[in-house]
Amino acid sequence: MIKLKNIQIVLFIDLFFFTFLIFLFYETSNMSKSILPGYPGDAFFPRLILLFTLFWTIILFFQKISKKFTIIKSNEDDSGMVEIYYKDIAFVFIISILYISFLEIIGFEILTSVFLFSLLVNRLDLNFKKSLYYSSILSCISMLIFWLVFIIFLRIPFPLKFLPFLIY
Amino acid sequence: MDILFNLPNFISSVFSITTVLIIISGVLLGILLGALPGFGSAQSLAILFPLTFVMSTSDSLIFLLAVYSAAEYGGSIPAILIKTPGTPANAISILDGYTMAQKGEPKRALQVSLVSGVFGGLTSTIIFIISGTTLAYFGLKFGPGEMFALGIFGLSIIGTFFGKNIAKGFFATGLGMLLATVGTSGFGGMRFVFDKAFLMDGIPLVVIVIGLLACPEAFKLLVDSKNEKKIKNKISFKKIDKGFQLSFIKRLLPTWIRCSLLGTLIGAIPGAGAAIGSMIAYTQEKKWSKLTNKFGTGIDEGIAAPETANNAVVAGTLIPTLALGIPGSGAAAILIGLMISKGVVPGPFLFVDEKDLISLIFGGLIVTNLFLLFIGFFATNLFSKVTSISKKRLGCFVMVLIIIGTYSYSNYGAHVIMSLILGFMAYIFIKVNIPAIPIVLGFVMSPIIEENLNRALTIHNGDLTQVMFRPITLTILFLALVTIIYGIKTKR
Repeated sequence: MIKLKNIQIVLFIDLFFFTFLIFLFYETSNMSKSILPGYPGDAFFPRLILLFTLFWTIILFFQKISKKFTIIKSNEDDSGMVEIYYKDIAFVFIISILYISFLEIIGFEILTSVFLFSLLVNRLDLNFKKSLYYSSILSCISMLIFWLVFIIFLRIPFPLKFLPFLIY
Repeated sequence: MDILFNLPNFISSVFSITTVLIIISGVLLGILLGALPGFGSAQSLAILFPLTFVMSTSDSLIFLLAVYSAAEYGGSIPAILIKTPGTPANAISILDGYTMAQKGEPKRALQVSLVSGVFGGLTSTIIFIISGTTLAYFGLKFGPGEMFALGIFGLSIIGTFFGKNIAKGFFATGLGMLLATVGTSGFGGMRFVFDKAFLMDGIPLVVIVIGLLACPEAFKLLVDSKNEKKIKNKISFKKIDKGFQLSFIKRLLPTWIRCSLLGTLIGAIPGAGAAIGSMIAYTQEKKWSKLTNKFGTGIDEGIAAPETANNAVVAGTLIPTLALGIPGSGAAAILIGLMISKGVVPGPFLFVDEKDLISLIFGGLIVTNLFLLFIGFFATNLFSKVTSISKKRLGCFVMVLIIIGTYSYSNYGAHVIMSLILGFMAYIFIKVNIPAIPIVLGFVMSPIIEENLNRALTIHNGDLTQVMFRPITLTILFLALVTIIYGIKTKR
């Protein structure tokens, strides 16, 4: 877990998006010109939004770096710390990406059970042996419920390996 | 108005077996999800949104409306029992609800909340149909220029009132609008696709809704709750606690009427939402009531006021959403998105071209509230058990539901990855008080605004001044400016 100042994160987000918005503004020059009389062209509306969003990123930046900035002031308290459990987030993120990447190869049944098992095993507040046992059972039962709802009732074509797509 | 006079016909049209089953499942899922701390109505709708892919337009709308109404009540369950509101709108119910539960009357607190919510829901539904029809009548006289201005006005309220800082609110709104410009322009050109196939058709609404509303909650449940201590639900229902009595009706009726009107009015203002509605209803009722000094000590009026307003907001939100196509909240944005995805265009023409759908929504809301009353009344004890579910374990299932739900949309893995990236972004945004709901609202509003602006410009040969300086357009744009200046002056 890392602790960061709220203001640091806001400034990072602000500067990141400021740069990104400038890049997108440059990109609008590649968009199609108007072909219809009166139609302002494909770039017109995105440019309006980009200018609007850029304006507010600049305001946000000045709000955060200077307390003397009084044009658009905020009473918000951003002195606090923000805790980010980066290891847990990265774990969830990576296994979710793996799940979706291997879904077609391994199949819905095994992959959903393994995915649920890997999330549940650390969260059951039991000793390791019991946790392994209960998370295996829970993940298999849950997979069957998801299969029933999404595949059997809603007829969504998930890649299956051994369970049937139709039962009625 | 003709819809109101034909009320019995509309209610009977709702009573087909399929519709009744859809309403019952919507109510049950809504109460369950709403009762989970952190899961508001928008989050509940987001997570259940994929279930509507296979439903018809009317069934899916009724299902989501049932979830929406029930989630607003469901949020009061943990607020009353464990002092943890399910939705921000139920936070104020803690004051009297939790106090009453601590005094040994949790059943009474829950049932007063339920009956008040249902009264608010029913009253606001009737107001919705009268005012919605009237508003749509005026809306029909609007041209594309005026509709463009109305969209800008809606955005000005959303940016100003969502979150604690106006700059963050508008920054988020702008990001949402920008996300909507990805893909085809509608005139054959491509925008911000960077030669990536998965961006050619734009970002689907389901990715935005699940990514920005449901995904951050899943991250919170999985990651943040991992280190939290388990809350033990020690509340038990005693025999002395007789629950809601019919004799309460006469005493609570003035509170219900006042707060229903207040809740509907606040719901009709885009961006205000149920949280503001219940807060204002509680403070106003405290002033109007004869029991001013007893508020906060566990009295029925203290629960009835916020809960009536909270549920009245649901139909109130539908007024600008359906009559003008301006969503007032995250939940309304999902409803608009659902309608657009099913080929129905929200706006004044809806009340002319889709009278049957409007009737069904009207009847559906009435029946939903009646089922909510019935189910909520007899299953009070059962739903109270939801508060003891472990958040971190629940997070595992929510995450699977998110992935499967997003994948279901078009069986495309890139959409799931987009949802996860947006979800992580929204998770960080929420931690630093950048609201995620304006991103969703901006995303939904952007195409409506752009389409009307382009149409108006084409009519006026590309002259923007002719579009802007029409009397009604100018008045609405002036109101938008006043809203922003008000937000700046009050240092939000």
